[in-house]
Amino acid sequence: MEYDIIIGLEIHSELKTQSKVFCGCKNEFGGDPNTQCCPVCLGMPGTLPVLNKTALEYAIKAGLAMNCKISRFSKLDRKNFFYPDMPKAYQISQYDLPICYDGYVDIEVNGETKRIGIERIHIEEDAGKLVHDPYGQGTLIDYNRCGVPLIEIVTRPDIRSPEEARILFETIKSILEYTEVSDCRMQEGSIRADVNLSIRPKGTEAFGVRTEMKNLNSFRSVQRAAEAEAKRQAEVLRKGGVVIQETRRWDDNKGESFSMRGKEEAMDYRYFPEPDLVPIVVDDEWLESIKRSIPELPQSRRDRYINELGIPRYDANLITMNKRVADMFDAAVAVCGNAKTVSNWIMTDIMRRINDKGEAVLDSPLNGKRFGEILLFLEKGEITQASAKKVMDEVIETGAEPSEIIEKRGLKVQRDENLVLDAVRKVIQSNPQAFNDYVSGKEKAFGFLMGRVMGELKGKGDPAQVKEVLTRELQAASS
Amino acid sequence: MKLRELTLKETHDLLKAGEIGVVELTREYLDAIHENNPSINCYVTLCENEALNQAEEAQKRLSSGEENSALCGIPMGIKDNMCTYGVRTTCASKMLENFIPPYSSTAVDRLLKKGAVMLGKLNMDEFAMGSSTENTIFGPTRNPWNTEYVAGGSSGGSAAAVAANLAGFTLGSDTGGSIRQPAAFCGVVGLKPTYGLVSRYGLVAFASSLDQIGPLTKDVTDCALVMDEVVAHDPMDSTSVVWENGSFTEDLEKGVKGLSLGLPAEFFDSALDDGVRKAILKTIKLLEDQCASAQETALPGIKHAVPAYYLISSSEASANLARYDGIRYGHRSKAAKNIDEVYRLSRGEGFGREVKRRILLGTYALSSGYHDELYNKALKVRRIIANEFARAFEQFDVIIGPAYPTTAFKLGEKLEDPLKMYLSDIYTAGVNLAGLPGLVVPCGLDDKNMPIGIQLIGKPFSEKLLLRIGYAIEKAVGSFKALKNEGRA
Amino acid sequence: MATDVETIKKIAQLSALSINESELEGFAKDLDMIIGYMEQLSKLDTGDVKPMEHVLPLHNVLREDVPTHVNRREELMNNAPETANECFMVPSVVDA
Repeated sequence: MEYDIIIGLEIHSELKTQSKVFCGCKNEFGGDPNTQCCPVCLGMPGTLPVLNKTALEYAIKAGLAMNCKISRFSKLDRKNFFYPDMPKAYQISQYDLPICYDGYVDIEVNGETKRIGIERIHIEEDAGKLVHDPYGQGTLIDYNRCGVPLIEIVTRPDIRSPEEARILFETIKSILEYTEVSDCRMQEGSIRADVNLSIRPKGTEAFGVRTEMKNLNSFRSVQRAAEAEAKRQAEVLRKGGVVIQETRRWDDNKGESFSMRGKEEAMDYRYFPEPDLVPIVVDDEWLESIKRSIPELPQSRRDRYINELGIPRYDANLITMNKRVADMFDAAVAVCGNAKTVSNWIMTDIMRRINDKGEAVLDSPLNGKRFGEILLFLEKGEITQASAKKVMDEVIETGAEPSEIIEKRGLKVQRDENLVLDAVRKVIQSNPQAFNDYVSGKEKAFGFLMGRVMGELKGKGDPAQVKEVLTRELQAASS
Repeated sequence: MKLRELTLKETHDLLKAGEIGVVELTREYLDAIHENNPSINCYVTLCENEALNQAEEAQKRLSSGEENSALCGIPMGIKDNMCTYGVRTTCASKMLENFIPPYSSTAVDRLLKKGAVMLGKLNMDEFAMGSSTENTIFGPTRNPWNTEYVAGGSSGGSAAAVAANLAGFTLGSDTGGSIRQPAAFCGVVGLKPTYGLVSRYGLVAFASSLDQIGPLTKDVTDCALVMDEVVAHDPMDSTSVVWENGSFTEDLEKGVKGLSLGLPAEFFDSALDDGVRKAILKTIKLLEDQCASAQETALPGIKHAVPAYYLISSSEASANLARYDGIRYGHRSKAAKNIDEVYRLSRGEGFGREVKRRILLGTYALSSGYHDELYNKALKVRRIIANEFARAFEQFDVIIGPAYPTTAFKLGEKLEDPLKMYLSDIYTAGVNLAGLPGLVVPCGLDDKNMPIGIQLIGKPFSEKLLLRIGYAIEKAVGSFKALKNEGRA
Repeated sequence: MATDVETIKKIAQLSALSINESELEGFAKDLDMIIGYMEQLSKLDTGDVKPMEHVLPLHNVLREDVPTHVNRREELMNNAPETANECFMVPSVVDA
């Protein structure tokens, strides 16, 4: 029995405002516990929320970037439940009149464009952080994060594979970065995804029972979790069982999910309109000014690379997916001049570093300018490919300028005709066996001699030049 | 004449003239509190040292001419549901028995900045839920006119303190009648302002869309003077409005000639006590004698004001009180062995019976399955009532009637039947539902020499008109001072 | 809409309120009476009147995105019953 997989994502992203959504506390990651709090975000008696204008505008911006309609009349609601990370025992969120609705995002899957519907985007407040006390006394609560503005993006269940889910998550993250409403630092937890998944027999229409996996914070885990869950549900059905509607916790280390049965289902949130906040009315003028403030989005940047710079679609997609990588690309091209070279090197070198070690390289001294400088040296033939890689490593490690490193390590390609000639002649003389082999037609001997000459030149020979001189000298010597 | 028997205005005049001093005034109030509070029990926290310090400061500012406010140097009492920096704020509940806020409510702050002297915090029904100030961990507040009777609620302490001359004025809060009813019971002036006029920041929330802070005073002029200082837009409160209509004292003496008064049949129903009815009608006659015109009208929606009010206020309260869990502040149960018990036991131990009743009612009304039928329905009735009032104000300048079906009842008399207690809010609750201003002024005594209050309801932001009519009534009937002498209380 | 002890237990659970066995009957009776009275509302024909959530015709009350607060940790935690390592503390919460 073959099954279709149906997936919907709920993505929570923190907005990078200066202050929290309902009070003036600093919105900043990593502060000392409970130092970025006030009576309002601690839910102390008698305190009241006041909505942050920028948070609202950022939410609208995100909605516009995802082709959503913007609610002209919208309001906030209380979502009531008890949990220690929520001081008021209700979260101020939006229930039936979200600020954005009915949008879409286009994703690239296997060279094809697919449209995924965005059901809604709404504003809400983040909760505090629970930390297990290392001395086992209990659970510690830090409310610094409590009250940070969040948008919740709910997609339609249009996703049909775990890979698509991953790509969608990447694409939405990319859009949020480009609109500059979020910094999307996954390692800081500022963007996370819930995966809703169900399966149905191929060819049927009705949706199956869906499960939910919450708070996945990497692209990889979204795909892995979806793959595992689709398999698990198929197994359940094959054995003649029924899929239970539940929330599951994904353990990325173990590569499996665990039921959190009994926790979420019975929850009656008793939503009602927030009486402490007044409704939001968005008029045309305001909407226009927000529209105008949206920077170039990934799709149009990608199209620009394809059309104006001749970068292949696949490459352009990958580069523009991450704004910081695209910015690095732009800066490097400005220095190096050759977009295709920069593109290739980003695809092979930078992307590899990111896959291996995360986005740390984008925070390193190897910025777009230096990257471009190194590639310029390469373009001009002044260093070899191998050297280029070495210089990049060293810039990342030490922060020194590429030209300094090339100078210090003497990496400039050796092109002095005389020195090359000397080296070639010396090698020919000291390797009579190889010389004879070459003369008698053994091609491999040439390679051997090349290697010796390069060694003689301490790897700084220009292979093309060495080849040319060696060939010439061998001809001369054998005639 | 004791200083504390003077009105706010009279006191201010003497202070300004230098004929009396703030410290001596404050001292007199404090001594009186020591002497009389045991029998009335309106103060639950006394701020003796702070008050005397504030008094000295206020005196300096008065003497130097730095502060001109009528409230500078006036001793006041604050209902214990308004947060006061560094001073215990309990809401008369075990849940907050030891809570010391590191912030103040905006309204109190404004008054302190103008030089008012805070004598202490006043008794109330727990979390403002009640009509008698008997639901309190501090024991009931007794009516100064007759200590076997209640002072009303939930701002019983606020009303009693004014009536017993234990404060120059007080602040109370009104969600369904909690300023107006105690004012009526204690023969003082009480005003629930239009929703949004006085900042709710720092007022411990009961029902967010209904709560308002307001003054309780010895007479109408005093009420206007307090309003002048306490009404202001507050950026910390999203539901706060801007007042741009000048001083509340401006129109006091304009008289009532040509004003039209509406008497809704629903306010004069069979539930209304005869003695109260007589006094109200007599007062209206006095106004007619001064060339106001009175006419019967109808507000049929009022019949449903009580259920709508209780559903909405309990629903909002169930959410507003959900934050009390003993984690960041407040009572934490010592018996709690896990997180679930921290919540359930702390709240079970910390809240009194009436509070629990309302939380249960509110949670029920909001729960899926009943949400539409109860909560949403109540919101629709709310609009109907608000519309009816609005239509009435097209025809009348003010709606006039009683504040409560009876005068003060005896302690313990109404505790057995919560529903009966709720039903008596019929004349006041609709005013909160519509966000309108409501003023109560004393207008007579019943045959037990207990005060009767008359209620004036106006359209939004019509406080100046209400005060003007109240002033006229006061002139004709005499303020509570005069009534006191008449009743020899 | 009969409100029995079972209902009270459920509602109490939703509101995180512990109610003694001895009090359950009393609350059930109270609420039955009160809710019974409220039922009159559901019989009322409210036509197509829209629910009134706010009494004021206010919209768009917004705050500029300027951080205003300072570190007030000590005074903010003064009322906390239990703290450790500059954090509020509760008994262990599973899957924290």
